[in-house]
Amino acid sequence: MSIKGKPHSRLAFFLVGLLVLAGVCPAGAASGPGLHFESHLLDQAGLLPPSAAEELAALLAQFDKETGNQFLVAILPALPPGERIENYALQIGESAGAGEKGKDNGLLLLVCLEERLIRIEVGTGLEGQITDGRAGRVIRQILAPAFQERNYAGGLKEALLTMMGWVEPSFTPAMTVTASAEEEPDAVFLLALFIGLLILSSVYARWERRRWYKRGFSQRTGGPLLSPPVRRPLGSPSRPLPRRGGGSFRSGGFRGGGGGFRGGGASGGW
Amino acid sequence: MRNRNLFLALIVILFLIGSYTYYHNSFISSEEKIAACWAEIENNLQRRADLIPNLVATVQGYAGHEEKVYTEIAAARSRLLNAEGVVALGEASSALDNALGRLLMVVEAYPELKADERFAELQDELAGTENRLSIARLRYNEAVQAYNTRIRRLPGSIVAGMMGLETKVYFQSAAAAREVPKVEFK
Repeated sequence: MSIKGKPHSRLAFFLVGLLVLAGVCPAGAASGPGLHFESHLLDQAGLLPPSAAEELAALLAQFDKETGNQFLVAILPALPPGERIENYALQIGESAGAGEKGKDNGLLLLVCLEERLIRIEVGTGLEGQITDGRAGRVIRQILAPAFQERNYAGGLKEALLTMMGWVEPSFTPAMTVTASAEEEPDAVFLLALFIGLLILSSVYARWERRRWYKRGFSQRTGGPLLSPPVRRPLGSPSRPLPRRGGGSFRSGGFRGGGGGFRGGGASGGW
Repeated sequence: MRNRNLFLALIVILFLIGSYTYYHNSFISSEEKIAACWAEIENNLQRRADLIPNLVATVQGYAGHEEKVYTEIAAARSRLLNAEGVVALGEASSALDNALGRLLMVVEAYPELKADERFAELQDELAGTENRLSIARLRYNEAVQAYNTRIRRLPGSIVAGMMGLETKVYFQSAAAAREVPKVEFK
């Protein structure tokens, strides 16, 4: 055989490349509203007191962890101009990926303060348990009356518990530790972390300076990253942040499962 | 040298077969996606048609003498249920939207009806179906747009021509007709 591999493999590369190029088609990427859910509750309007927000987020996180249904709450100061709450809620729910892919068991409760609008966007998989009529009832009978009395946290909690009961009747919310009891160890821990870092940095700086003098300028090739590990002074943190125990759920850590929505749910106002 | 030409020819043929298969299959997937989106539209149209008798019955309980609106809705509903094809369904759907809008206008005049929880829930169901329908329509039209673009762009259009594919029709319902008329009370 006189054929050498080289030109042909080049040709093959070219053809494959052509095929790939031809195959690339612009995927209709829906640009989401760009809301980032760090926990299951996003209060951009600052409507809820921190302790209540923490409690609600913990409730949502527990429900997610125990039943796999991802309920999200978003409180926004206002809707983007010209946007309908139905469309916006759908976009938020989809971009956050609430619910498991395939099961589509997500839910988004969206509150827009300026417009005084509420939308419960129900994932496709939960439409049987939370029908549009039921979602509307939650808004009319629980959320609207509570919001009119400015009892935002209480209304949200009752609404969420009602809907959780429809989806998973056996679900029982964990006794959440009161906020004041939780805050104290946190403050102490943060203080210790701060002091520890302070000591660490001063020790490191001194050690670095000594090394600098010893070696001289010309020999200094490795950066501080390549330097040998510093002996930690006592009291400095060596472990990652401990989880708060006591059966309560940390609010942190929402990860969307890619659940789908198709516009089920209800809207209302207060 | 002959061997070499033969080899080249073989590669070109393989490439052509490969591209044909690729485009053929991708068009089939696009068509299936459109079919799925269309099924979703039909589901929601059906769901809405099923809800309407309940809604009308509830409204009649409070407002018995608004016969004109009820017959209008019944006519629009049966027209929708008998409509075939994307265009006809779109038109029938708009007509039903109009009739429903008039029904909801009637409702405004009956405060006890508006306070009825059963009616409120039916209205939520109806609104939810309308919302699902508008999203299904959006997704269907997006799928159609993607498909139409794909089968008309080179080099896929050659394959599409060989397969005899034609562009698909968008599902439209006049946007103005969908707006529920606002009633102002002074």
